[in-house]
Amino acid sequence: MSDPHHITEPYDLTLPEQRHLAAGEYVLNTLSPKEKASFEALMAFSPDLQADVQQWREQLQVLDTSLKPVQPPAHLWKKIEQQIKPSKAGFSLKFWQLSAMVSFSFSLALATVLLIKPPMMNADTADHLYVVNSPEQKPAWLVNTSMDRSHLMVQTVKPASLPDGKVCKLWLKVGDQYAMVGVLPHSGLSKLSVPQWMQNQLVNAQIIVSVDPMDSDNNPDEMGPVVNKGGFTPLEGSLRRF
Amino acid sequence: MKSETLEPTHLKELLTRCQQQDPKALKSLYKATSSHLFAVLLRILRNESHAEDCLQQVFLKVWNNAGQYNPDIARPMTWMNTIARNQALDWLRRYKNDQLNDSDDVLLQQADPARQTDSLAQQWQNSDKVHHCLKELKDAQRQCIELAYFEGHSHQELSERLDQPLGTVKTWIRRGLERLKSCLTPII
Repeated sequence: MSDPHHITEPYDLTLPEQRHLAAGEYVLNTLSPKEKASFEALMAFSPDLQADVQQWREQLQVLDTSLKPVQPPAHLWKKIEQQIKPSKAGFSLKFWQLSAMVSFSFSLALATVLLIKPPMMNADTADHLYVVNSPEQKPAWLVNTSMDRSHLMVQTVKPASLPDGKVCKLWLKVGDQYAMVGVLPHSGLSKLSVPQWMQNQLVNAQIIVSVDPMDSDNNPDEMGPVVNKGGFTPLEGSLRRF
Repeated sequence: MKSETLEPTHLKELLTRCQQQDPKALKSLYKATSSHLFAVLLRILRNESHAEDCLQQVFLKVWNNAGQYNPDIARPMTWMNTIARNQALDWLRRYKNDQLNDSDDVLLQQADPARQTDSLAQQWQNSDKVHHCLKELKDAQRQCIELAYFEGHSHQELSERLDQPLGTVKTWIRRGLERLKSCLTPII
């Protein structure tokens, strides 16, 4: 098994062939910490090297796909299902709807102030934000528009508790037309696509949050109780881009 | 659970629906992929209970991060296999560290690499084309690539585990990757 030409030198990343093999070892995770750091520094600026890494991922995946599938025990799915379902502790739909009305009145007052003194910014290019409040009137989710208006980014702050099997659906309404763009996440950041026809009017769209069964149809006529409603607010001075 | 298709377009659709937090989509994704991912986790962890815990974490990560999946960069199974492998290797590293902190017994727990390779070779019989490409590799090259991929060993760890000089191990891996790539490229 011995090989007369033993390699003792690290990869020379200035040579294309060596870069390519280093990409394979990067996926295998055999590079030393120093080699890995050099490789990652180069990869950060090299789309070719990023593509090389992805190509190796695809190729080395044959090691995974060639394994004989093994069925996990049936109870495992139940555990996962349990974890993705929202909890029902402390939920009061009536209270949430009532507080949403109070919040809406406050928004109207705020809008009046903003109309008296309009902000000095270009609403076409600014970030726009909507805050979905919990029944306790604390921020539960932040909904941002993308610069090109093709997406909404939803950041979870402190999600509202919901009954078992229920989710919060996020709808947009322009004129008489509705679009259900997605479900508000339980945690983390979620990217929701905005329908093409609505993108030009996105910042003027009305945002509606309803509570619906997980597997309900996205038919606006069958929308569940509305717990939040409002419009986007332009943010002055934001540098965030996505 | 009845299994579903692994067809990439179907899996992409399910991931898009997971991004919209559709639990039915995650269930379909689980039906389609869990037995494959579980096999990977079992191969790495060699412990059913640990593999179950990891599989649960993998699907929660998929659920929470489906929005980050980019079909222009990776096929759905590649993305999910990468999540599964990283999850298991992270678990293995944490486990090794805990063991090393608790006791030196971990050195005695390492299985015989030759026996592991035999067992893996049997599993690989399932795929003709892969089997063909792996036959192109020398035994030592194949063994090094498997141990690195499935057990996360560095060059140094492989050198110690196989009781071979560092340069020899590096050579086996490089030559093995070269051969594997030239064999797999026309069929992927």
